[in-house]
Amino acid sequence: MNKIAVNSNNIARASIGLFGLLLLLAGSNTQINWLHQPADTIVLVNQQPVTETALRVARQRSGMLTADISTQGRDQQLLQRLIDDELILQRAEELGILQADPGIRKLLARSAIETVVSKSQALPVTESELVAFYDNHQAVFQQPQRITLQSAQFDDVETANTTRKAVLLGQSLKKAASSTGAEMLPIPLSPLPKHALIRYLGASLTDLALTLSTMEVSQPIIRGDSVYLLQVFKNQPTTLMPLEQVRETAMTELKIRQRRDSLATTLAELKQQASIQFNLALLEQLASTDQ
Amino acid sequence: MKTRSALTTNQRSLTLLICGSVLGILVAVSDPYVSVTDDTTVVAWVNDTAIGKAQYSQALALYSQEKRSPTNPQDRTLILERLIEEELLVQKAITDGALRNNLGIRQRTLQTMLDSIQSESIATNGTNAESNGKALQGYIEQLRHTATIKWLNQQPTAAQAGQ
Repeated sequence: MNKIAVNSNNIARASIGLFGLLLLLAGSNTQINWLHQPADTIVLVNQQPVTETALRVARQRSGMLTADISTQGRDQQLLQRLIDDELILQRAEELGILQADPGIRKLLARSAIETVVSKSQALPVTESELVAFYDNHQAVFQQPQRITLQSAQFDDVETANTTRKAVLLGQSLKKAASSTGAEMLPIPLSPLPKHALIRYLGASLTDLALTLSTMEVSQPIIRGDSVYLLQVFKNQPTTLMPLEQVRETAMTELKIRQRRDSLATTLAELKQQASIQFNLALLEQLASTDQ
Repeated sequence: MKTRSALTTNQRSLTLLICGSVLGILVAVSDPYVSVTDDTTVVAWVNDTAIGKAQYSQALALYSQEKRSPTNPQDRTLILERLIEEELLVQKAITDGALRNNLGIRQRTLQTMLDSIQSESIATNGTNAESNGKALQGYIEQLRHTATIKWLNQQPTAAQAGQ
């Protein structure tokens, strides 16, 4: 009876010990570097493999520099160089150079971004994905409203009204305005979107111009010390470009957004997995000294 | 009597083991950076890496300079967020093996190390090329000496075996 009790005690102890060990391994911050060596490993330098592939690349890179040395001698030299490089890289890791050197940090961050992005870019885009993207982002593929117009600037409302009447009777705005000594604004006679019109007319006149229909002549518009007349020759409304016409643009836009999304997703995942601690006291202190 | 005494001893050791395990569990689950608020040089920890006050202040200054106005709380949050993201990307690249797989990073790291060895040597020996070469050789020899080098697919040459 006692023997059974002692045995069960031993089993319990062993189980608790094992459980503790598992907890220690699971809770440890140290990553266990399970030996993973490629099949073409030639030599392990502190468990880091130097491979035949690396030697081949080094051979290609060394090229003509070692042309006069025998193949075996050259390979020995290159291998020694690869081993030395590996030792220096390991030392750099130990010293935290990768984290501390701003140039290397930038290269590392860029490399991580390229890895994430290239994965998403490698995925093919199906026709249905492209159509769905086009349907859901029609604003991107719209051609904005464009207006072809002319504008004359007058000193008083009366002259503007006289000119307006002449235009309505069939005279051109340019001719009618010049006969009264008014000035034409230097606007190109071609369809212009809102942002381009603003440069010539300013925001308020542009907003008014966009409401005029084709061949409409505005009422005299007073802005500051001047009076304006606008004549619209063509008002092309906002139009959605057909998919066939913007297929390439749609594909490029979709790829750009996929790239951005995949990076955002990866960053969100990394943040979720990471242990991030803030020094709130110091942050508050810095914020207060900043203000 | 003897059996009872053995049982008591076993019970005592079992109790000690349980106490030890509980203590171990507490240590394992406890926050390793509880003392982060005591550190006046670190604004945040990302896994095992610190984001220093200097790094944060420098980023804020640059941002403020670009924005041409003082930073507000949203700006500060954004800057810290960007620094954390950069750190996470750096850590990801290292985990993915970029140091060895990315030729640019490999070369840059080697060059930085060699420059640093050379700078140290110049500080000690001046600009004597021979001394500097020897210093680099000595550094590498020291690394070789402390390393574990195991040949697998190829027999080492006499020179390699002698390391």
